[in-house]
Amino acid sequence: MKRSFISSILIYLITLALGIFLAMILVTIVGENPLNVLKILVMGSFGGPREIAYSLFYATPFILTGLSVAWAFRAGLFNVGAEGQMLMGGVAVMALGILLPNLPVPLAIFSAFVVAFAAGGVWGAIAGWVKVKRGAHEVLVTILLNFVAYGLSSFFILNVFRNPASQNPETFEIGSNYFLSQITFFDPSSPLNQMIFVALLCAAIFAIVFRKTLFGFFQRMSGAAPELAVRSGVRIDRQVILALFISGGLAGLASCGTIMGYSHKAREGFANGAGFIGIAVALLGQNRAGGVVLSAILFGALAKGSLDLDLDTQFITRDLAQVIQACIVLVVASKPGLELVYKKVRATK
Amino acid sequence: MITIESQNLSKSYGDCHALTDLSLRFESQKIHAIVGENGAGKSTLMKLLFGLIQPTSGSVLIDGKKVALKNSRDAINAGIGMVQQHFCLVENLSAIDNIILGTEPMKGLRLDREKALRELMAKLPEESLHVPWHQKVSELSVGFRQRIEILKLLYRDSQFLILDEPTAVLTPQEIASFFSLLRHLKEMGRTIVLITHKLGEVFSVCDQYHVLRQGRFIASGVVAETSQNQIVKYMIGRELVVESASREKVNLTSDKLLEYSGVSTIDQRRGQLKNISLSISPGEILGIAGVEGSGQSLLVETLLGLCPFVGHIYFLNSDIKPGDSTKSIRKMGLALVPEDRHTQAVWLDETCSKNLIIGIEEQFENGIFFDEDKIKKTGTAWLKEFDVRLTDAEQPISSLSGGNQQKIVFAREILGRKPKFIICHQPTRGVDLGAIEKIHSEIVRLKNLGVSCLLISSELEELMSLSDRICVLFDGVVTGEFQRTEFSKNEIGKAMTGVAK
Repeated sequence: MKRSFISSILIYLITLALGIFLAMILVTIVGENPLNVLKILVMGSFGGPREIAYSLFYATPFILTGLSVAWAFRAGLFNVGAEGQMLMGGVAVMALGILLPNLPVPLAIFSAFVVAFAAGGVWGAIAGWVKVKRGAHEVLVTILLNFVAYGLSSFFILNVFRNPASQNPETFEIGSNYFLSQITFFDPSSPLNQMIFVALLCAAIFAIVFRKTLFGFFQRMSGAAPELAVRSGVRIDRQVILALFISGGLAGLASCGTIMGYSHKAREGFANGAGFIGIAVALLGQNRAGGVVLSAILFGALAKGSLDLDLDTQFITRDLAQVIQACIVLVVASKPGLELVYKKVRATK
Repeated sequence: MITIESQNLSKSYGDCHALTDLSLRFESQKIHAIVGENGAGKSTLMKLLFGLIQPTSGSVLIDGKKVALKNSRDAINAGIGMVQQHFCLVENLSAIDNIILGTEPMKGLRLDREKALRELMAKLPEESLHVPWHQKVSELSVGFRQRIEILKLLYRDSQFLILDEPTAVLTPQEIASFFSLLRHLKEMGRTIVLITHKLGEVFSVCDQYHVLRQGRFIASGVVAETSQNQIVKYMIGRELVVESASREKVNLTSDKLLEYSGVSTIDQRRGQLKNISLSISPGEILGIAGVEGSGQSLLVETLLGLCPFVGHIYFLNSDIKPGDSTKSIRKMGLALVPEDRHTQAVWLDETCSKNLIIGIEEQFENGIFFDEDKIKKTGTAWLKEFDVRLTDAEQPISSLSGGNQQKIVFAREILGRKPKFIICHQPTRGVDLGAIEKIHSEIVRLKNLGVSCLLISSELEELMSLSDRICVLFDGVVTGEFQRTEFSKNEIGKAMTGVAK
């Protein structure tokens, strides 16, 4: 147990280092000093309490979308639809907050979470249902449902709940009872809010479910040993739909941090790629709760730190964050190949 | 004609010594048998000879010269060929295309299949060549597939053929013609190495035997000068105590524990059952013989509610409908030892202790959590009862030998479910002799307690020694039924090829 823990941390660090190294080669080719770029990234994300607060704010949705993708992975499914599920969750929360602005405080927040989870969950479960009934691959269905979600969310934000007084493509404000309070520990003006605790709680539940419970056992078994599972009496169909419901639900929750804790309304395109970053987060985090949280914080820091690149460097912009993410994913994906090389090298020694 | 020798060959994986200091000599133009229990090092030796793995120390000699076989290509160039236990054929290519795959003769940009065929014909006599060359492999029988694997080697001019458990999937008749092919190849100057655990085959076709045990060389000799008992003794290091498991005579009542009546499957893509009627009484062992893929799997899956069918299946007086919950059917007292251990019976990546409770998880439930203490306690007791010795029940089950994995499956199904009926589908495939002994005596013990058993096996000896009655399946139809008193290998073999009794 201990050994596998240490080795997974090691793998994590090596992957990270290789990914960043790769990105820095690109930076050098473009003509920037990689050390300087690294310094900007680190200072911009962890350089002070304000930076840390922002990094954590950015990390919050990544934790949830990362858990979303990781949950599906654990059940042997690849959910590429976290983006769409997050959008649907956000639309549901926004609608609830605008239509029922006066729900009493604890109930308001609680029902917002339920609604976000349910809306994202249903969006995921549709893919599960289609897979079970018609045998369509979940990757395809979740991708396609992303586009449906883009359209639907734009429709609700721009045509149904649009605030005509605003010049931005955004909705009315939700009721103030739905607001999540800010965390002022690091910085009194940062957008970091209580949602991060909800995200961490979800991570803890994730870990417990897969480590200790029968439900987690069935979820994993129906992915890893389906032939065995059906014969032992597990209804794989239900497990698949349930797995994608929960996966989608976690992605749906990811919308709450911004809508309930910061902007208090939904703006067109508010998911902003967080669902896709969740895939990278889950990959780098090896589908474990702890790994996902660490990776999400890293990707949050990257998102924050890269903002300064626009001003402080000549040739590169904040898009470098995406380049680094891509490099990390590349390294994770080539892990089997790297292991082979490693074994060969060791064998010749 | 080549002679291959291994000299002080060793292979270890970390602390695990798969092969220790092995020196063997395979003389040319002979059929050699390599025998030994699972884990004796047979496969390791063959992989070394075929260049798939590298020795830790020692060397391989071909015609007295040291060679370094870095990969299978080196081995093929040296004239060595190997047929793996699981066929490596491309299902949707034709037979001839499979044979020439990788070394295609070309005529301009086109494949010259005719040339390939001519070359092949030159290497083999007419009578052993009834292969439908242009038919897709997916449409061919297992016997033909086996033959194609061997033709692949001949086409590449292999002089030294390694065959890993080649007869596991063949009918007695197919085995006979397969053996005559081997003899023929021998006469043409080829050397053949047969890895097997069926001693009968050693005596019917092999010239020399080599016994391995726990990675060490134990004995070699001429088959004609030894006896089965002697070889078994070499293999397990002691006499095999065959308790002719005292079968209690069961008064077969007219009660039926399980009855199939006019069962046919609807979806025909995965083979089919055609109007099957069968029944099993309490305390009866019903053997099902037949070439693999004759509907055995469907027999099991229909009963589990996993496969749509028409007709009726009565199990313990209730009418099983397709789509019924597998869980509730199994709860009625149905234990299952499935055919494919690695995908259907165990969860390879999980620990031994978790594998012991799959399907009966509720017994180890504490709220929504696992009751780890109970799992540990019960697991230890069960492992002890089935004589599975482990250093740690938390190790993954994939690190265990086939025999120990199967014992864990039996422990779970028998001790965990307390069944009224047990399905044993290929219960001893890939299992060592010690475990086979244990499993067979367990099936008879259950029978004596009044538990019925559906025993599906491709090993006729196994079926004939255990069953009260044998039904033969061919292409989804029952082509023969034999009472224990009328068992005959020949007659059953005939029924397996579709000749109705």
